[in-house]
Amino acid sequence: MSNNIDCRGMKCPLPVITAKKALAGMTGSEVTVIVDNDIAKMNVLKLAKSMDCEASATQAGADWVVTISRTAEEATKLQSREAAKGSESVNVQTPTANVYLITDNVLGNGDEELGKVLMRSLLFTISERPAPRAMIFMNKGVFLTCEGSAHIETLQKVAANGTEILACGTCLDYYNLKDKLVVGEPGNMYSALELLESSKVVKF
Amino acid sequence: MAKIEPGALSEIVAGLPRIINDNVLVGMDTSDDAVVYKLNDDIAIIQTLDFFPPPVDDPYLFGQIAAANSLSDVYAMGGKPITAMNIVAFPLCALGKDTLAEILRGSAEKCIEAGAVIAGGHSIEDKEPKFGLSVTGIVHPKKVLANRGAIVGDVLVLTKPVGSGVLITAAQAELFADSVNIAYSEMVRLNKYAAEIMVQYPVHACTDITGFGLLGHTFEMTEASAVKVVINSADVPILADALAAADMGFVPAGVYNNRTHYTEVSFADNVGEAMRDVLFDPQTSGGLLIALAKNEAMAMSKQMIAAGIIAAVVGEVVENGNGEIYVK
Repeated sequence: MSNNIDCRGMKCPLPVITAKKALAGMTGSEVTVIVDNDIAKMNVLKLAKSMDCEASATQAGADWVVTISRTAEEATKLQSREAAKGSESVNVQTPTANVYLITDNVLGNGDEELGKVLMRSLLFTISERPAPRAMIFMNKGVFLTCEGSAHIETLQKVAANGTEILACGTCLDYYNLKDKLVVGEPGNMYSALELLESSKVVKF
Repeated sequence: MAKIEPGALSEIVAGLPRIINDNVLVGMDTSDDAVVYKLNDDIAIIQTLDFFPPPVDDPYLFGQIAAANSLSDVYAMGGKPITAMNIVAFPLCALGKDTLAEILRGSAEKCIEAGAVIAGGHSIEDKEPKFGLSVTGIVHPKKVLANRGAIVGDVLVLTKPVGSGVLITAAQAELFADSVNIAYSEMVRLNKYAAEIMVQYPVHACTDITGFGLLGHTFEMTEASAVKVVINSADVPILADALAAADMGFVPAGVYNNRTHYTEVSFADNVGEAMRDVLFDPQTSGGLLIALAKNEAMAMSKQMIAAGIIAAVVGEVVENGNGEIYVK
């Protein structure tokens, strides 16, 4: 596939779809996308960012040239991730689209110290395995995603692998952690339930 | 979908002659989507119309969505739809009679569900299909709900999730099929059921969420009510994968238009770009946004949730103002 793609004359969201395909199959380190309107330019920039690429836009007459680049290392990572996502988008939710629901900051009801060790081991293992679709943190689980947690780096790695991380907004509020959330996005019961209902759920 | 951008529209209608008539209870001056005309002390009629190009490929679904969307304006004003007429622009040769029949079937079924009589309509040949309805409803003149009326201490209750616009855009890339189907089922859901519960409570203001997105329509309400509102983004029900779709750039033009136009909306720094996009995402047949006192809102939400309706308190009227909205 050519590394220069011309999306002029395309209606939204075709430029994004075309650019996404080009990025997924990209062999070199750079792709340029030509678009003829501001909105397509902004959407292609968003796409690039969501795929962890560097991107910039320069105006060329009435058109925009968006240059998207990344290192070889990122390219390999992205391609394997896109391949994984690709199989998901055809069949949308494959049975392996797991969602992990974590409702405590320790694992299990026994000794607290043991529970902490187990939680560390669980999160580490998750970060080493194929990325789950999402991880949902509720009740005391939200502490794991906030300042002061010993697992921030591990969870950041999970998030970087493409897992959606959701921390219950009500819980963050309740524990006064709203400004302390480090990994993931605050979410509500509705979005949590949507994820839970449409995936294979593993509760810890 | 396909709305003329809000800035241009305000400019265009600003030059029109002002209609002053004591029987007009709700007119154009507060950006409401319908006119409410008092017939006598017991009955006012609500007249409304809406039509748009198909946001979905399936004609039956399109008919259902268009009808649910048009009926919604009547529900948002506290009324009951009584009659409806179809508005059809259609390329009969290119798309065929069966396709149009399916659109009309979807529309008719929703009107029956709403208890409104569908009484014909008007059709023209057009290159691009467009469909919608003009709906007439009735309401007690003293129980009309509008954008105006929210007061300090009210909270805002939203009755459907947002994000259908970005999901429908992503659907063109064949992404997120399951979430897109959930979006469709939300779009065909009548606001009737939420409205029937709403009218049992002392509601101060109500609107429905369509092309200007949650924040655009919230602004129509805050401006008409001369108040300032804080929206808590974490409390807003959002369709699964809508944020992901926005993050990937499946952002319809309407989002950008809305974000440019509604300058009275400001965001806390920690509200991400995708969230901002989704909060301004144009909805087709979106939910009701209801302003009422906090304790009443709690009771109302409880009753709605028990009836299977999403009823999320998404914000609060914090002080008098000029329509400012702060999103945290």
